[in-house]
Amino acid sequence: MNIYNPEYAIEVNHLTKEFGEFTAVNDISFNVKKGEIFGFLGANGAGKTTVIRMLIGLLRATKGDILINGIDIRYHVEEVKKTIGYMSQKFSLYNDLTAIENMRFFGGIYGLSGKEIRERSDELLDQFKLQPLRKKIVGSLPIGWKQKLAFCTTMIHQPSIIFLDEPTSGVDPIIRRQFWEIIYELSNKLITILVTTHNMDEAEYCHYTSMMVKGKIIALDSPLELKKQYNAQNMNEVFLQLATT
Amino acid sequence: MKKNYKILKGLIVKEFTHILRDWRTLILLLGMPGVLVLLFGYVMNIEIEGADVGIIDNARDTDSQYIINKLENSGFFEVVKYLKSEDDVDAEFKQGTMHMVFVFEKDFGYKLRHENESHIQLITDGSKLLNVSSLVNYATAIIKEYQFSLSYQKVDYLITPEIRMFYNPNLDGRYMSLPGLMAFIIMIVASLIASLSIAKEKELGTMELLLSTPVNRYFVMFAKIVPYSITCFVNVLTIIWLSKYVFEIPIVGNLSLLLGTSVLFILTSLALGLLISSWANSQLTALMLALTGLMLPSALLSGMTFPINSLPLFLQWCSHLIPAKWFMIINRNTLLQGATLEDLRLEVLMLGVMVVVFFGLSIIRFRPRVNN
Repeated sequence: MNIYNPEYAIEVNHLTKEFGEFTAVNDISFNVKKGEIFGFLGANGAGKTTVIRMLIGLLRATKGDILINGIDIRYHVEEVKKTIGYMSQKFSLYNDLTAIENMRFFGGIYGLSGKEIRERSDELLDQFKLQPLRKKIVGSLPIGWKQKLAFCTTMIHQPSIIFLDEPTSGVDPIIRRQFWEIIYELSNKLITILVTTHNMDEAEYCHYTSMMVKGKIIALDSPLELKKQYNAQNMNEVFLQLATT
Repeated sequence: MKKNYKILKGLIVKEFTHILRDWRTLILLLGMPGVLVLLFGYVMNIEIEGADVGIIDNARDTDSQYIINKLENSGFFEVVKYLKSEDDVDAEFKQGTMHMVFVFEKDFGYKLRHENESHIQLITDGSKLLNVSSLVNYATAIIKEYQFSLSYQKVDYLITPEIRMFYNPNLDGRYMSLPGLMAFIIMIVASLIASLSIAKEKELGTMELLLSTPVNRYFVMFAKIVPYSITCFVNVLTIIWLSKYVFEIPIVGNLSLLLGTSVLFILTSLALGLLISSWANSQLTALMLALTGLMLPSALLSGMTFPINSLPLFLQWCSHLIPAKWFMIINRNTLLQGATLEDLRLEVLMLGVMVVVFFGLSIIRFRPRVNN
């Protein structure tokens, strides 16, 4: 039995996921505070995406508890899904629809009214500086803009937690910077962000990070503390030390 | 309630947008069935009036002359050339001057009258498969008629038509029909578009995004079915229209019964498509599964190409599981024989059961699970 701590947006206790014989996620626990930018780090194949899929209710955990805003995902997955936003590793808006059609569609799915969708999408397109792309077919856009649009669409229903699975892979430094500016803005509004990345410069921007290796979390602290602990100049060194041991 | 309606509407609008944006596929979807029916229809209904034939008359007697006259007067055959020997046949067939040659044996009339048996050889161009079998039937009928008229005068004369097929020696009775074609086309189009559309969303990752939202997964499935049912229904209308006005097949039966059962069959096919997509994570897999799992059995075991009662017993049993078989019976009997719902209770019931079973299975299998 877990007693809900209102300070936390995400609580994960002894989470395990097995695929047959293979243990993809091995007894991990961590908490994410509300409004925190949580860097979910790890090498390829460490099990990060599997964890995220369990956190957003796409996969069922083999063992362990997940509380999202104090709600147990096992029993109330639909409730949880309403309050979270997810941007997957692979770009996955509809390529044959325009930017605004994608936003309208996903807004509609979350049950927003036509008026809400109009207001919200205008606000977001302004915030992300995407107004000029409004009526462009998504498939024709360059990858950086696509990613921005995907992030923007994730926000349509004003989620309180956002999961970003490698949002900046394949994105140029200018757009990357814009991404992080927006992430900070959201964090200031007490929106929780869980972000995975391979870019250790980006890891430095996070409030708190976890390092996953082979299905286990082997380090969990702020970037500053981690660097101290491993006597490293930057997060890149921390990562190399941890991931290769 | 109202909210659910709006969500569903949003999903359906999205599906329609996909279809309309991809106009090439749309043209293919709406045009292909028409083109196929026209092609098959013309092949099947080849007019056999005045088929060009050749004669090798080794007998040159009154009996052979009489039969040749009868052939010409029948209106089905037109003698274009008398050939000297069988060696010339191949060249004539290759040039396409004739599709059939009648060979009267030496002393045809003499043997007929004194030995009570003589032979005519019918050599046909087997590469012109579909009209050839009707040509042979007509020719045999004419020869038999002559034989009967002789038997009237005296005892059993026997003229044995020997049929030789060039280029395709083992001609089996082929059985093709527009109703069968309609069942086949609808099955393929419906199951393919349904399975491809879901497999595409899985492949591109949009399904994962969709399932991370609180949307009801049954809504997602339902939204796929609506626009595709309409597309397939348009196909049914096209095919019926073509059969009535282009091929002048009279519609004897109740049109609304036919349309109603078509909807049932479309739903069966779409449900199969959904079921396929629950196994396939990519469009290519979905395509392969639909082609091998549905297209081949529908073509071979539905009675479209081979009559079911000529199949081995085991395959006859298998054919009961082919939805196209039941729909083919329904639409052939309503279209051509004017059967009523009463007559087709079993067939309609079978389709009904299949709709429920296939939808049930695909709902069970359609889980918000994603591959690794």
